[in-house]
Amino acid sequence: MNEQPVIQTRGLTKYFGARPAVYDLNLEVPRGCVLAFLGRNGSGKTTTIRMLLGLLEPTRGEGSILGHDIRALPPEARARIGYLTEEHQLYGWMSVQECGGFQSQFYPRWNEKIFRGVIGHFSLKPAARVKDLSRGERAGLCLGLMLAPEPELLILDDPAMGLDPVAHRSLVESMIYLTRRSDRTIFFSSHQLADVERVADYIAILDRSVLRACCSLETFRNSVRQVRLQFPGAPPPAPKIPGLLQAFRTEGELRLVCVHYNEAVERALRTLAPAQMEQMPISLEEAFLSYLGERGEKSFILSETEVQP
Amino acid sequence: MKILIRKELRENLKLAVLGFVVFTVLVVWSWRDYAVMMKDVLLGLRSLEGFRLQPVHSGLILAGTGWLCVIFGAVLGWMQIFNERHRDLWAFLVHRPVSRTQIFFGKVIAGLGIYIVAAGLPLVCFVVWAGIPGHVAAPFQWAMALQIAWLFLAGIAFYFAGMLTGLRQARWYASRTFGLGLAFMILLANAVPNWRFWQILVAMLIGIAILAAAVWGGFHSDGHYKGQPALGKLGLTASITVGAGVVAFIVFALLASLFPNLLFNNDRWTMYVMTKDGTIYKEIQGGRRPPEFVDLDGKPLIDAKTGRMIELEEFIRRACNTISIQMDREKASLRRRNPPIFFSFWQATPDTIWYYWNRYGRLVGYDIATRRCIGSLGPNGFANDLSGGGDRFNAPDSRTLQTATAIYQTDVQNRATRTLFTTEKDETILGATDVFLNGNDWDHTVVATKRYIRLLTPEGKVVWKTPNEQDYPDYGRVRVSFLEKPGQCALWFAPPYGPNKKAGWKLPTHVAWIDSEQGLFKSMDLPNLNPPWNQYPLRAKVLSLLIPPALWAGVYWDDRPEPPEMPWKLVLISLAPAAVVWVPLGLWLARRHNFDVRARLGWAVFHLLCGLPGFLAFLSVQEWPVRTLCSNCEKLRSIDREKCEHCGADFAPPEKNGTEIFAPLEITRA
Amino acid sequence: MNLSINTGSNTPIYKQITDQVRMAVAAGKLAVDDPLPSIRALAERLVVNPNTVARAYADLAREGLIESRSGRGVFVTRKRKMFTREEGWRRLEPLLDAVIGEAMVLDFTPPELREAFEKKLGQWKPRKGGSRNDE
Repeated sequence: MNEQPVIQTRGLTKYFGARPAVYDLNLEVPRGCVLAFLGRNGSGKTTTIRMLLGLLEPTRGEGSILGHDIRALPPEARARIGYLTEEHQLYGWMSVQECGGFQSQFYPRWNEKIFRGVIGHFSLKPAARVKDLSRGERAGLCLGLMLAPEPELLILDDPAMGLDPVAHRSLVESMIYLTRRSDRTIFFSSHQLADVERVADYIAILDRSVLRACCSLETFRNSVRQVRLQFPGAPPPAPKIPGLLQAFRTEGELRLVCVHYNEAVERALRTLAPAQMEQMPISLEEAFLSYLGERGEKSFILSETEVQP
Repeated sequence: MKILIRKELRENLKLAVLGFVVFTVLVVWSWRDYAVMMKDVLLGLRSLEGFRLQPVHSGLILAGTGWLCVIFGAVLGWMQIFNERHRDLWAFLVHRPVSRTQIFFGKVIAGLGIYIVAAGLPLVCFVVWAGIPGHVAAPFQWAMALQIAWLFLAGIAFYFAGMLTGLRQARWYASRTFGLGLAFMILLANAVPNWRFWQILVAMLIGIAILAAAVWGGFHSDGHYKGQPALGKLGLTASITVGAGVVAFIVFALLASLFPNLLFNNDRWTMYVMTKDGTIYKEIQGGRRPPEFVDLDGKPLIDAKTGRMIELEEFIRRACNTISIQMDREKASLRRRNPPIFFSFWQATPDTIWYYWNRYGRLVGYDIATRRCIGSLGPNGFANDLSGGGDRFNAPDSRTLQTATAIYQTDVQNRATRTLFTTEKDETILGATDVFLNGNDWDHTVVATKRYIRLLTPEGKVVWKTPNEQDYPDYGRVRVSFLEKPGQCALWFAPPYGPNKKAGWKLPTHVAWIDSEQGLFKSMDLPNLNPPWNQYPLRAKVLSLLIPPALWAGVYWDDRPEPPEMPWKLVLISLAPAAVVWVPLGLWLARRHNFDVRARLGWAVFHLLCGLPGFLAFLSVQEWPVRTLCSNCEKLRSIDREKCEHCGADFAPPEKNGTEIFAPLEITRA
Repeated sequence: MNLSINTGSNTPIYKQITDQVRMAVAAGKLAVDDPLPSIRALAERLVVNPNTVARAYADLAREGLIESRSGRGVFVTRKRKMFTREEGWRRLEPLLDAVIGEAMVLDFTPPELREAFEKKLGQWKPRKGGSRNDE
């Protein structure tokens, strides 16, 4: 299956003044997959999404979405893309019913059953005004509005933000439901690592405006290893190995999380002369946290300020 | 797009209703104002002032319409953008599967529709009310509503300017409001004195089109300059240039008020004046000093009581009354171009108001109680309708009316006209003026025909008659001074500007003394007093430095009878700062940021034509991308270009830190 | 069959699924020829990506534990020979280590452990045709 990726960028860059928000992004999202876009706050995820949708002019670089240049997205392309913003903003004065009516007139392929289904699932009254809805209800409404036109590509910017657990679960269920169609692609950014573990096929990780990882979930999991070295006395500082993500030093123990663990790295570690060295399993969530966090030796927040009794 | 229009209408309903209510209040207030005034007039409690007798021209309706259209238009336009101020809501709107142009039109059609109904409907009702006979005791022509129409149109300019203010993403927050400067100029267009209807209309429509193009472009690029189509960029640049010009003008005016010498004329100007005994003196004015009076030999006139130079007040007491007759009918016409005068108040009786109506050339009477037209008065007397046959009255004076061949007096109480004077044979009246020597008493009327100038009494008797400027053709204007002795006058024939200039400022001023017994008994030629007017005083040169050169083209747009002369020297002075300062600055900036050759040339021409406001617009409109050091050639390069401008290298890819995980993405579908 | 998964665990989701299916088969909760939910149905029930379920099912099929019958779904099947003795011991060793280690920590003696082991074996019924040497 050698068709064009639904999203493709080449050297996509955005500066705000002198500060790069997104730098040299090269990404290809194949059709039919679920790709999770991860990164800390301010790493450039929302900026990337806004550029992809033609809402923000890139400083340089190119991109295409569904085969169309992102700088000139025609209406036909927009009709096939569903977009969910993190704030779930809609017109406060409209009622739920009016929102549905408003949206449906824009899309020739509008599935009223889906809309009613989602609205019903979130228990939204058709006459309720948007400004009176809670955050979770608004998210449900936005979800219904996005799903009813049955878009080929869904772009979700931190969709779970601010949702209560029930609304959150409904959101994730909807995403799984959407994978029924093999030609439908989901591209979403999220901070919910559990969601990513459940739902994503692939992940792309932005670290301070630069793309540092883009692979399948499986590959990521296999690339991140945790190694525990035990020492009789105080452990030495972490060695400078390439691919070191984080190091934890506690009494008698040095725990390292690193990527691309191979024999060379193992040999380098053995030179520290640990009493014991073993690989430990690591959960995907811990792997994400280590990858996203600051490189180097990790200290806990407030640990320096703690007053010794 | 219909969906968008409906949504916009629904969204701005409250504002629409508010606007409609406010305009209705204005209209009702104006109507009531007129009704109360007419009631007072009927009861004899109030005297009449000419202009406000037609409520369509009242100060209230004009000022109210002006302010309300401007404010309502701007607020409406701004609100339509402000409604989607949240970034995600704007994203929702823009992500509709319709083109940006359709989103633009969706908003604009709804907005203008609201404006037309909320502002237009009450105003139209008001004008129609005034036009229905029996409502307003004054002449009515649909063209009288033009002033209101211009203000309504200016509101549309402010609508787009308000939208532009809301849309524009600019670093300097103040520059967002520059569009309002252009809207303000559009508003002023309706008040330019010399312009005709079509000139005003074209100027306003061009201005509105520029603002609309800027807003349309703003929808394409979400308010930035870069991503717009070319037409939008043009519109935006033009709008901001004009706005910057307005701001620059205000700043300069404020600064200049600190240096009054720059603005005020220090030139001195000499005039001939005459005292009641017929002696001619020269009055020297100007230079911010009190006027001085000298006799024809140059000796100062000394006041016998004080021993010093006579003071202005004392001289005025000694000076004679002088009236002026324009003998060029075109200039004397009441049909001024802008705003046109349609009628003027003539007289009022306790139950009727009489007007001179320019359109029919007759006096028209309106009954105060019924407010209906009761008929008209012409040279042939009273008629029940407005035509009545016969000649037109060409122009009203204070007590008399003229036709081409006769002067009439009217008696509105009895609805009759009386001939005061008729010309002989084939003469036509060139001009006539009623003279009041002491306040309100009508003393004489002076009539000038091609061959003679006559002085008449109110009964029509000729006091004296003298030939009209036989030796001084084309002078066009005669002034008559009334001396102490009754019936004795001095006639002044002064050369007009154009022919005087052609003759090298050598044409004399001719004075003739005349009275009823002797006829013409003395005459004298006086030399031209002032040297050729210095067309380019320092003041003009300083101001020219500040004018953007493109404005000089306006000299030709102003359509005056004489073909205007382009003051090339002043134009060059305007071009100088543009060429020396703004063009090089602009070129330097363009080179620094590596504009292509076409862009550099275009902006250079623009700076040459538009001067300082153009440069300010250039700074405001362009998004100046940051420059960083090229990793290859160590020179500064723009961050928005793929290849370095100097060495063609790409940007370095981001540094790897060893923790990258990349693997090809392949689907393994279930 | 009561499958559940946890996120944030050291075990990948697909492995949790295969482990639970294997356990269910071993404990007798799933018999041969019992149907398993379709990939899509299980994915939606567990709220996970169907590819993950597909991966789990593929691994189980490779082990010979389940098979896909065209048109009718996925079913538990007779165990086909796939593990050699050595592979089998390799899989069993860590589990034995875990049980014995835990018992030592809890201060159980080897005789007590042996007794418990025998008791458990008695509770588990022998599989019908479940011998390794069967085809």
